[in-house]
Amino acid sequence: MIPIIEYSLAILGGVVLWLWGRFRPEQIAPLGDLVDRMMHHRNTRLAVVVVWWWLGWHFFTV
Amino acid sequence: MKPFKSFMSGMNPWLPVFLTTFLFHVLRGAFGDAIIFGLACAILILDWKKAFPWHMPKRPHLNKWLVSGVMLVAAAVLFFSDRGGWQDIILLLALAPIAIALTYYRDHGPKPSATNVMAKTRGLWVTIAITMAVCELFAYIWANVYKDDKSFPTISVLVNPILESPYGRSIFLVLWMLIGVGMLGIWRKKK
Repeated sequence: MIPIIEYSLAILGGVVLWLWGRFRPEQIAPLGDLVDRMMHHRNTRLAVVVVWWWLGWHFFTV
Repeated sequence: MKPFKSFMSGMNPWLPVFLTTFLFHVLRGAFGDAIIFGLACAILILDWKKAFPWHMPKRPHLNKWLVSGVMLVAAAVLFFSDRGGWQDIILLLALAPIAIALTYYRDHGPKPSATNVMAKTRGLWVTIAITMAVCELFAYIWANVYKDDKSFPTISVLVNPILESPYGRSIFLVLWMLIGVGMLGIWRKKK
C-alpha cells in the first residue's frame, strides 16, 4: 500500500507542476519548454530515446 | 593524465548512468534488460567516438497523418496479438532504429531558455523523477526481501493487469508513442 501512495503522490506532483507551468509560466517553465531544452543536445536525445524505448519494450513484450 | 583526459573528452555524460543500469540488471539476473542497456552503452560509445558516419540534417518534421497512421497500425498489432508475442517483439525492434535515427539532427545554437525559472523547474522535475525511481527501487527490494509484491508492488506489477487487456495495451502504446513523438518534437514547428 505504501508504494502506491508514494507513486500517487509523485504523479500528483507531476500533474501539479505541469498545470502550474501551463497557467503560471513566469513561475514554473512549461513542460514543453523544459523538454525542448533537455532535447537540445544529441547526447541527451540519444539517452532519453533509449530509456523511452526500453520502457516500451519492458511493458509490451515482457 | 593528459592522454586520459583527452580520451575522455566529449564523453556522453549519460554513459556512466547506463553502465550502472547495465550492471544492476546483470546483478538482478534480468539478462534481456542487461543486453538492451549493454547495447545502449555501445551506441553511446560509438557515437562519442564518432564511429557513425552520420550526415547531420535539420530537425525532421514528419507528417501528422503518417505518424498517426504508424500509431494506429502499432496499436492494432498490440490489440490483435498476445502480449509478448513475436508480433510485439518485431514491432518494438522495428521502432528502435527509427527512434534512434530521429535523434540525429544538428544541434543549433545555445540551449533555449537558460533562466532561473527553467533551472528551478528542472530541479523540481528531477526531484519528482528521483523520488519515483527511489520508491520503485525500494518496492522492488522489499518485495524480494519479504517475497510479497502485493504489499510492495513495483510499477510493473501495478500496470500488468491493464497491459494484459488488448484495450489497455493499445491505449498504453498510443500514450507511449505520443510521449516519444512529443519529446522528439517531430510534428511540431520549432519556435
